[in-house]
Amino acid sequence: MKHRPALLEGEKLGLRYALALPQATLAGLRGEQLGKRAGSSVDFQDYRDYQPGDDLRHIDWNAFARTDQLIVKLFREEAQPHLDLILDTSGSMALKGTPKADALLKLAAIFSTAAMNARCSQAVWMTGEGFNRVGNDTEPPSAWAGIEVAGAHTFEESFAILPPALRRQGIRVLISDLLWPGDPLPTLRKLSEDAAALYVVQVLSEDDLEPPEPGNLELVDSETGETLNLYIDATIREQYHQTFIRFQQSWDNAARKTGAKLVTLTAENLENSLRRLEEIDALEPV
Amino acid sequence: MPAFTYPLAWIAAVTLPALAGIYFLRHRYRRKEVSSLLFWQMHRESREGGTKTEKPRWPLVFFIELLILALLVLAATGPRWQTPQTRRPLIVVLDDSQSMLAGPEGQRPRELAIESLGKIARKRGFLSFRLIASGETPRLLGDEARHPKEMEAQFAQWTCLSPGANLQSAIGLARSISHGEADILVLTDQAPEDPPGKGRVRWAALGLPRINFAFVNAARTAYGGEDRLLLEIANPSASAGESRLQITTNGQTLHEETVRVEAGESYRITVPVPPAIPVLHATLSEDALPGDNTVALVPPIRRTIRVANNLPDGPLKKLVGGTLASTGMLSTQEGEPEFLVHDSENIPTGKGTWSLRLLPASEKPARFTGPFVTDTSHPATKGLSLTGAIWGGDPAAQVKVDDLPVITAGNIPLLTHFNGMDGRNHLTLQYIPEHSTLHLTPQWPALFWNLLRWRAQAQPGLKESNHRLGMDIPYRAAGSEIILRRPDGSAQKLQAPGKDIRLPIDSPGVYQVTSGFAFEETTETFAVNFLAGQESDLSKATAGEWGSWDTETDVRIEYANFLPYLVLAALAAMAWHLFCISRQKGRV
Repeated sequence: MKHRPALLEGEKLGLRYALALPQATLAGLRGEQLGKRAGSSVDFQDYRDYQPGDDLRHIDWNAFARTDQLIVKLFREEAQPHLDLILDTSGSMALKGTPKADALLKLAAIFSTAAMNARCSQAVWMTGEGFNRVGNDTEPPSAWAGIEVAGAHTFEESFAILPPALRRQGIRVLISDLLWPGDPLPTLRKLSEDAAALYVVQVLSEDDLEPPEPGNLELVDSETGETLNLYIDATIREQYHQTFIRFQQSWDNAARKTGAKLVTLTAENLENSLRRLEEIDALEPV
Repeated sequence: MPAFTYPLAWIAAVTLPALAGIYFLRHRYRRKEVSSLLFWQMHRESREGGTKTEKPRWPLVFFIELLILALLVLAATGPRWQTPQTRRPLIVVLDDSQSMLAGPEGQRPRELAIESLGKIARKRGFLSFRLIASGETPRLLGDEARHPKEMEAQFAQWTCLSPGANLQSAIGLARSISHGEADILVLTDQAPEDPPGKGRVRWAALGLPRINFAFVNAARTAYGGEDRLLLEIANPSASAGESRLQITTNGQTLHEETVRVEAGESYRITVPVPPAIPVLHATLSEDALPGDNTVALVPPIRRTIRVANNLPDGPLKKLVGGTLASTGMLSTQEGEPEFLVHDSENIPTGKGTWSLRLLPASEKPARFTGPFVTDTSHPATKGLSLTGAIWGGDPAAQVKVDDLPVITAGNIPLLTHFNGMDGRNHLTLQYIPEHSTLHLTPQWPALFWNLLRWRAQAQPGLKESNHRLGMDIPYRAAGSEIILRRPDGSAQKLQAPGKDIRLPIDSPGVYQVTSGFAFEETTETFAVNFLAGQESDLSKATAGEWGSWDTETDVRIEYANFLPYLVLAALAAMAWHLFCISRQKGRV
C-alpha cells in the first residue's frame, strides 16, 4: 500500500500522545473507563426501586428481607471509550504536488495510536460510495488495509449515500480539508449528534491557502474535473483571500454552534502543528 | 509615403513574432489542479452568466516590449518621411582659377558670376549661403552667411589667382558639408565633363572663348659665368596671332621683338643675360588674360661649398684636389670647412662638417672590374655608371657595423656611408689610383660633383629661385623664424618647427625670404610666375547652364529624417518598461 510509510510515521508520532477523554459524557461498551451512567461494574453507586426489566441479579435481597421492598443496587457503569475517526478521502485530499494525502493519513494514525494509548476502541471511516470502514481499523494503523485517497465522491455525497454508523457517546474526529460548498452547520450537527466530543481537523496545503501567481491559468477541480480559465491578477488574488476568510468563518461559526472544536493545520508543516491538537484538548502527551 | 534608407533592416522585424511566441508560450493557460473551485466560484458564475469566452490575457510589459522592438526596427531602417520644407541652404562653388579674370572689365566671368549669384539669391529665398573657392584645392571663404549682404562681403577673398580649378573636389566638399540638405551652385567658365541632372547641383558657365597669348614656360639658368633666359610663348586660341615681347630690367629694355605664333603652336626664345642683373621682366602685349602676359625671373642660385683637402701630400691629394676644383662649387670664403677630405680614422669635428675619408692603400691590392653593386637611391651615385671601370682596393675590406654600403664589388665595400647622430654625413672611400681607371673616366668628377651638390642642398635656403605658381616651394630655414616678404610689400612671419618648410605662396610675383636672425641672417629672392598653359587656353571657355535644382513644389516636400524621434520614443518606452517591472517586483 502506497500510504503505508505515512501511516507508519503517524503511528510513530502518535506514540507520544493519548486521546484526551471528555469525562462528562463518556459512554460505551463495557470497558476500562467508568462512565457517568449506572452500569455493571463492581463499583457501587446507588439504590433505587426495582422497575420491570431490571436485571434480577442486581436486586438487593438483603434489603428486600429487611424492607420487603424490591430494591435494586446500582453500580457505576464501566464504559469502553470509543473513537470514530472520519477521514475525508475525496480527491481534494490527494491534490497533486501537495502532501495533503500524507498529512491526512499521518493524522489518522496519530489519532488512532493516541486512542489505543488511551485504551479506546476505534472505528475508522473513509469516504467513497458512502462511508466505509477501513480494513483492519481496530488494529494499529500499520495494519490498516484498503485506504485509497482519491475518492470519486465528495464528503457530502458520501454522507448522502451512506452515512457512517457512529457510536453513541463516542469521540469523533473528522479529518478533512472541508472544501465543499454548502452550509457546514448541518454537517457538523449530524456529526456532533450523540457524540461525546467532536474534533474537526482541517488539513490544507499551502496551495489552498495562497492563490497562484498572476498569469493565465486553467484551474481544474481535483474532485469534479471541472475547469475554469482565468487570468489571475492582484484583484483576483485579493478576492480569493477574502472568500477564503469568509469560508473559514462559516466553519468557525458552525463549530461554535455545535460544540465542535476546529483546528486548521498546514500539510506542509504538519509536525510542527501537532501542538495545536493539544491546545484544543484532542490529544494529551503520554 | 515614407522611404527607408536601409530597407534590409526590416529583417529584424522577425523579432516581433519571436517575442510574441515567447510570451505566448509563457502566458498561455497553464493547467493547474486545485482542491476545489469553491473559492473561484464567483468568477465561474460570472462567466456562466454571459457566454463570453475567456481568452488568455497578455501583460502590459509585453505590449511595451513589442512597442520598443517595433520602434528600434523602424529606426534601424532609417525611415524618412516627406514633410513640408520651404527653404534650403545654398553652397556656391566659385572657380578660383585665373581664367575667371579673362576679358574686358565688366565682362569677366568673375564679375558675371557675382551678378548672376545676386540675382539667384534674390529670386529664390535660401536659408543660408556658403562660398567655396575652387583652386587646385578647395577652400571655404568664410562662415555661413545668413544674408546675401554677408555673402557679398566674402567675395573679396575670391581672388582668382589659382593656376587651376579642381571643381569636382570642391563639389565633393560642398556635398560633405551640406549632408544632402543644400542646393549647390557651381560658377565657372568651363562646361562640366559630366553634366548634372535635376537635383541638387546647378552648373553655370559664364566664360567666352577668346584669343590669348601666354607665357607657358620661363626659366633663368646658370650657364658658365652668365645666365641664360628661356621663354616659351603659346597661342592656344583657334587662330594665329601676334604679340609684342619685351624683356626689361629696371625700366631698361634688354630685348624686344614681335612674335607671331600659329594657332595651337608655341614659340621658344633663349636670351643670354649677364648674371649681375637682379630681376628680369618679360611681357607680352595686353590681351584677354593679363595674368599670363608677364613673368619675372631672378638669378639662379649658385651654391658653393667650403672644402678642405687634408690628404697627405702625394698623387692622391693632387688628383682629389683637381677633381674638387673642376666642380666649380668651391667657396673662397674662410671658415669652418663644410666638406673635408681626409685619411684619418677619427671623424672630423665641426658642427656642419661632412667628410670623405680615403682609406690608405692596401699592401695586397686587388683590381675589381665588376660587377659593381650601386645604391642608386643614394645622392652620391646619381647618374653614375661604373661599367668598364677598374677599381683598385683592398680585397680584405669589410663594412663597418654602422655603415651603409653605397658601392661594392661583390661583398667588398668601396664606398660606404655613415649618418651621425648630429645629422652630419661621413663617407669612406677606398681607391688606389695606381690600380684603377675610374679617375680617367668622367664618372670620377661626377662622383665628387654629386658629393658636393648633396652637401650644398643641405645648406639653408631655397633650392631654386624661379618657381611656377602652384608648385611646392621648399625652404630650409637657418633658424626657427622666417620672414616672407610678398610682392605687395607685406611681410609674414613663419615658424619652422623642423628645418624644412613649404612656403605659402598663392600669387605670382617676386618674393624675399629671410632667416637665421640669431647668427647669420640670410635673405634670398625668388620669383613665382603663373605659367599655367591649360588655364591660359581660353578657347574652351563657354557660357551655359547645366542641371537644375528641384522646383519649389519639390522643395516643399522634403524627406525629413525621423530616426532621432524614433530612438527617443524607444528610450521613453524602455523607461516605462523599467517602471512597470520595478512595480511588479520583477514579475513579467
